[in-house]
Amino acid sequence: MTSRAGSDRYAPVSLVAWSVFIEALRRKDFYVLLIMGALFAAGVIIARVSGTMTEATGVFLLNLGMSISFLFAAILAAVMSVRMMPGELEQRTIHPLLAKPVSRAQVIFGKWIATSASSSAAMLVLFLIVYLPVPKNGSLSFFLLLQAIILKIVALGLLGAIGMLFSLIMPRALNLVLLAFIYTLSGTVSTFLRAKAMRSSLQDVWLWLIRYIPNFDLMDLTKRFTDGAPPLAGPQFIGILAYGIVATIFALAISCRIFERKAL
Amino acid sequence: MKTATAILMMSGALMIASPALVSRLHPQRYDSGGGNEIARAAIQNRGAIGFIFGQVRTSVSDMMFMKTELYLHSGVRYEPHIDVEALESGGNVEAVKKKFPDGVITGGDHDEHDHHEAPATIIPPADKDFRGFIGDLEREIKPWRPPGSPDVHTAGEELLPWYRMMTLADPNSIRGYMIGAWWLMRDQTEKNDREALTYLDEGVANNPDSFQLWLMKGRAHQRLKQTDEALKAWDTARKLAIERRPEGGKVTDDWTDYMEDDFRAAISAQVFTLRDLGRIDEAVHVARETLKTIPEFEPLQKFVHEVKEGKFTTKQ
Repeated sequence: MTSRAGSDRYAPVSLVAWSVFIEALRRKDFYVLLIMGALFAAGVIIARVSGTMTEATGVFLLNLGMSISFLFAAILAAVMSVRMMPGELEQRTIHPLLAKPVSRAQVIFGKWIATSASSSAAMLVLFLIVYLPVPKNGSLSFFLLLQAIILKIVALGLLGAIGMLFSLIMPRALNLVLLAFIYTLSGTVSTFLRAKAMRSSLQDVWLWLIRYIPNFDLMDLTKRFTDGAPPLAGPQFIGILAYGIVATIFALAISCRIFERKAL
Repeated sequence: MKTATAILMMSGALMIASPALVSRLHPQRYDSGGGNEIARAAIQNRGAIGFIFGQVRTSVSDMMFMKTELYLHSGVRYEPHIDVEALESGGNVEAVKKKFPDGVITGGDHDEHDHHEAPATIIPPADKDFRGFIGDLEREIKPWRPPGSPDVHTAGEELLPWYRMMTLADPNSIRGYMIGAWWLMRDQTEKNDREALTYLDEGVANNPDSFQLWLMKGRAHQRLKQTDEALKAWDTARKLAIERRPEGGKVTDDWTDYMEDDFRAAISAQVFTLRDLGRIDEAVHVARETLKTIPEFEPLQKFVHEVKEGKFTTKQ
């Protein structure tokens, strides 16, 4: 009985997620990124065949390839999350959807699942395309690679959740710019503000407040991996994972709250 | 509805507490086999593709570092030739890399004549430029100086924003902190020394295992006449260096001559400052402890010997 109730609750979520996923495939964003990833892989293969590949070049290309695949996946997550809700609201397709036995929270959750799953799948495909042709040296840790991928999936989930939250309160273009800023520069901005705060008499208060800025650099282990560093210690990894998950749940919960109160 | 509110409240409470967790997360702090970023960059740049990519090399921080070289030479573009480690270790902008016939590049000073070549400009001189009028035009309208003419270095103050940007872009850019602090301390004013100390405090907070930053922090404290803090910083530098130094101080990619010099500087600074303060017992203790790692270090041997002879006495 409980299991039936549970599946009833999640069926609409999976339906919403599936429809978003189909829409993502129809829009062909993923294919564009796939072609760009393939071009990079072709370049690497040519370099290998032409004999210009050294171990150092391999490390460089591995770093570049991983950064490209992670960046492309983030672009996909940002673009999908930014346009989903405004699109539904502008075209009024949200009305027939909500006429069905689907709650607003389920709509948000379903769309977020689709965004996260699509961008994570894209990231894994792109990652394999760029990772496989690059020569790897023996000092790279497979366990750290696994940690890097898991944290990147969490980062994509967080990016999608923030994108959906912003899409309910601001125009698409502004949302996209803000997301790009947060994803690429939040770490640098935090460092800058921390340096400023260290000169202030209210240092501790400022440092505490600065840590509320979503920090995607925490979830990026690319350089650590390609530098041949050891895996993160258990508590560090779990801490970062917990930070990403809590921030994602918080952004989703606020999104649900705003959407439930939004006049359609 | 109640569930959604409960989730919002719970996640909100966790978010409010999250800075306590974030402050303990440092995934970018690691020892990648020594952390000598110059050696790593040099290895990276040996590759053809790394060279082709030019300025898009390892990070934004590297790009900014290259900008500092351009600023240092008043905008004249030279092939990279500054001995970065000499600049890090002693703030020496005059030190250049020497190019040997086999292509190996090592450190050295301008006044050393062996194998030294004048750094080539990116825009070639007229006798080596096939472009004729276009080349003449470029030499006229862009900052350019004939290769071999005396190097003219601009004031370091102009470079400081770049070092600041370097460390903002990459808080693990140890050389950004070191060279920036050198430029700040160059003026020998108390204000700039304090500024350098704040900068180094930030560097140490971001790179607590870098013994060279601790050494510089000690120097900054010393200049501000904060002797106890200076001694603590040098002690940390010495202990970190002992952990990292290969046996016998053998020079490798990860332990350069400059690092060995800095290690010895940290030891000397600590021991001889203690001696000058009359804290002979402490100085002898540090000296004996350090001699276990570096028994060939003559100044320490001599000091211990002189103490045995009763040359120094503890001040009350």
